[in-house]
Amino acid sequence: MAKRILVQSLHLKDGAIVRVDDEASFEQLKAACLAALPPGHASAALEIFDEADDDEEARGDADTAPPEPRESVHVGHCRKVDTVVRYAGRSVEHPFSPATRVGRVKNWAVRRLGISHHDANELVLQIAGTSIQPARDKHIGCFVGQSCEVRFDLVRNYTINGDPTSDAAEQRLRQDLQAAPFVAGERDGRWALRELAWPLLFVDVLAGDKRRFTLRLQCGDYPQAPTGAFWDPERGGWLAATKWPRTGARFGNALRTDWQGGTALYIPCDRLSINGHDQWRQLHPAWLWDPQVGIVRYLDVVWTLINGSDYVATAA
Amino acid sequence: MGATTLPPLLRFTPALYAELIRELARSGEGVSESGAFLLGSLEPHRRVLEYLLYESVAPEMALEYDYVVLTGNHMAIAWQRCEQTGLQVVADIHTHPGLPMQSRSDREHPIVSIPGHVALIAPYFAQRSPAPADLGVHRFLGEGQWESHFGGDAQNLLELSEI
Repeated sequence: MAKRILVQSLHLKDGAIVRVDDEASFEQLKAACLAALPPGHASAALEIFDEADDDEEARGDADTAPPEPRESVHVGHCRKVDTVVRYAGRSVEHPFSPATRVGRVKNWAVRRLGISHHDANELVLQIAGTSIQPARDKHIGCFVGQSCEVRFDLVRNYTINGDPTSDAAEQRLRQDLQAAPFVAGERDGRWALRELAWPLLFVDVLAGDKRRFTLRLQCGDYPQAPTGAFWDPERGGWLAATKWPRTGARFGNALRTDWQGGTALYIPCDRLSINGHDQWRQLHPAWLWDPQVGIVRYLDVVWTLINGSDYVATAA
Repeated sequence: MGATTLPPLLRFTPALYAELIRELARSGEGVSESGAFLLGSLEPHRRVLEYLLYESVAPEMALEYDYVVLTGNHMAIAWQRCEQTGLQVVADIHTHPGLPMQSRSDREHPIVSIPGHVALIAPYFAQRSPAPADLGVHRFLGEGQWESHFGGDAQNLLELSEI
């Protein structure tokens, strides 16, 4: 019987799935994994590392139960990855297996730095010198160079310090989040408040197939219109275009992913998008921003888009 | 606890403190919040040796917002500076338009989430040359909890002394 194996590698941007027979020898497994690499990258110097053979020291830091042997492997040239995590002038180091997941490294670093699990919620690992914040399930071997080391900064995606007692905008938004129209939407299962990290509002909107799409809205001028788009809370970044919900002809380009680089929805109630689209005021009056209606206007529009008959579910 | 019983939490030289307050006031221009990472050493005492203004790591944010907004990239710049200098972020400071109490955002977004971290808040955009007694001194306890001090307690907790 064929077994599916998830293969990750420096040379595979999105990983790959290979199928090998249950009884396959290690050499057959290795050959199948090397064959999954892009042309020109397979070499005798590459080795196979099974995620199940991970580092005992960090085993307790795993996000999930360990995979079975031959369920998830890494293909690379580093037997160990010298991993450094920097945080506010402190740093912790450890040589991890290249098949160690980023999430486990984060949990290990947080523990070593004396940060509580609660306080670490919004912290993410970012590759030093870049803006790349790898997904938690990626192997750290995917981020090494020839030197077999990787350096991370432990950072918060957004840090907001300020005095909201002087900010009528935040007070008004908080009132609206506790008012009947918003609460009714939560009760009906149309949306759910994820977090208000003023001035950013994170709300999950439920699609027709019950999938949740997180909106990140910049509400600094509230009750004037917010602006925002779909957010990937796992990754701590804007949702990849391939994961956006799609609509058919009925709502046309409302969910186009190329508008504003995927950071603003192409809808009349979005503060950025209404600029230069005066025709929308005649064409879509019900979708215009209305300060009297407030945040539920934006949420209603998005919910309508992803609950219509032409909503198209995308791959998870 | 009486105001005279609190041992210092954070130490500055008088000159560094005065320069920091002047720079915060200049950066916010009396109309927007400003702030700084406070870099220094933890041993034998938590002492500030230099500061890194938020406007220097996040100039675009200073232009866009009236409050402090930092992204992961901005924090990484500060971590890089720490590595270059061998110092740690021992505290942070930002200004408020009004009183130096923590906002909800302040409480929910510690600049450093390690227990013992000190967050200072300077009132009135630091325009009135605030002394230590005018600041809010907020110590992070972990698990989202803080301990706040004002007035005489704040003055005792912030020691201005030569090294």
